[in-house]
Amino acid sequence: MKLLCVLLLPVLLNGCSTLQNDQTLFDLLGEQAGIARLTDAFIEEIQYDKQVLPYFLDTDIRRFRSKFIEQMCMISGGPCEYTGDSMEDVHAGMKINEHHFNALVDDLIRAMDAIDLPIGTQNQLLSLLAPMRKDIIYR
Amino acid sequence: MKYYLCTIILFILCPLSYAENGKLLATSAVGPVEGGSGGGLIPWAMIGGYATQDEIGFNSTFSEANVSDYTLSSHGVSAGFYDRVEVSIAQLRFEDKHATYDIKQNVLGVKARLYGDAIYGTYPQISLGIQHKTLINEATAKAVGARDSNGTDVYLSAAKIWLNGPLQRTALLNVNLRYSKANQLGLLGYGSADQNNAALLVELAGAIFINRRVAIGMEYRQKPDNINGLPEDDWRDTFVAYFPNKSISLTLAYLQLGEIATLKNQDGYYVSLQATF
Repeated sequence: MKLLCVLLLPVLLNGCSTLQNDQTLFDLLGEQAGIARLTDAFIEEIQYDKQVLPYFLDTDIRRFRSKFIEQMCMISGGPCEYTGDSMEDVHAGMKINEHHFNALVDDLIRAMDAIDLPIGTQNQLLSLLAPMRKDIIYR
Repeated sequence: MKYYLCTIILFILCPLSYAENGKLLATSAVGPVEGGSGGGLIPWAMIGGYATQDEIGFNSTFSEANVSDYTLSSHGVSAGFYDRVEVSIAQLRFEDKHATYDIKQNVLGVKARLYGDAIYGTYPQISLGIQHKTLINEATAKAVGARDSNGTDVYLSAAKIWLNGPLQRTALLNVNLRYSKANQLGLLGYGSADQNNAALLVELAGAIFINRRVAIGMEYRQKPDNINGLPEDDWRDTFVAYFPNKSISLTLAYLQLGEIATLKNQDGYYVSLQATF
């Protein structure tokens, strides 16, 4: 029984942990400046990733950078409106498979590590991005 | 012999395929004692290795459990096909430090993912697995009163991973329901003259990732009680798993296995090394 409690504890704690923090993820990411830094680090990781880079060959990197910053700002609770195309439209016809999607997630994690984002902040951002996967892969 | 033949065939197949590493770090799970993928003492719903739905992957695991009066070593290989089906073979060797028992068992496992994605799905990932176990030397099983020297377990497994779990750490919960009449994993055979019905058993695992590379967790495995005079206790372990990269993982655990073959309080440690191709 004690063991059951220990095993269930994470689930219960999960509910609490979202309440105790009144700082938004936008604050934790370092607001606009921090998100811009993360985006630049992410673009740098992509540049060195042979698996992912081919998908960006036709991408206007300047536009990608500004839309990515907007999107991160918006989903993290910042004062922004994402004005880019839907994730489905952006990735239509790109035929991104699970392998390459996960390679891009690894790039993002490396970028977050590179700018020393704490693991808790990283996990918050990843969990907000995860639902987009279905609109990105095998399109 | 059959076991080694299978091992050799698997290793010959390896270079022919595109063994890949498309999944996220640590989603391979580690190598449990009965082979395949999971924790230390129980299988989990994940298909082992890092192969995605377009890929094939391979694992090789060596593990050693050392408790007060016994050692249990295991080596196995498994193949994951398209993040859908996992086939595993393992050989277990159970030895008594007082040199009473030296038992070997082969385990052939097949696990299929029926539904879901532990990380990206809203609901848990569900898998159905079987483990067919055969004793190589059945004398001990017969001597203690087991009815059969081989048998098949069936289990239903559900796993969910929360990327942003408690304390903003990635967390895993896995629940198995196993239908089995194995005595001490089948190392002491299956069933007995008095008790030949399979029991429905619960297995639980919970883990939390301190960072991307280190997970800590606990497992619980309910055990049946088939042989009169040789009661079994439920098993528990507390583990630390380290994933330095996608090629290798190392698991250390503290085991609490209770009473085994009349000897009580079988506590000790477990070490497991898994290589992923």
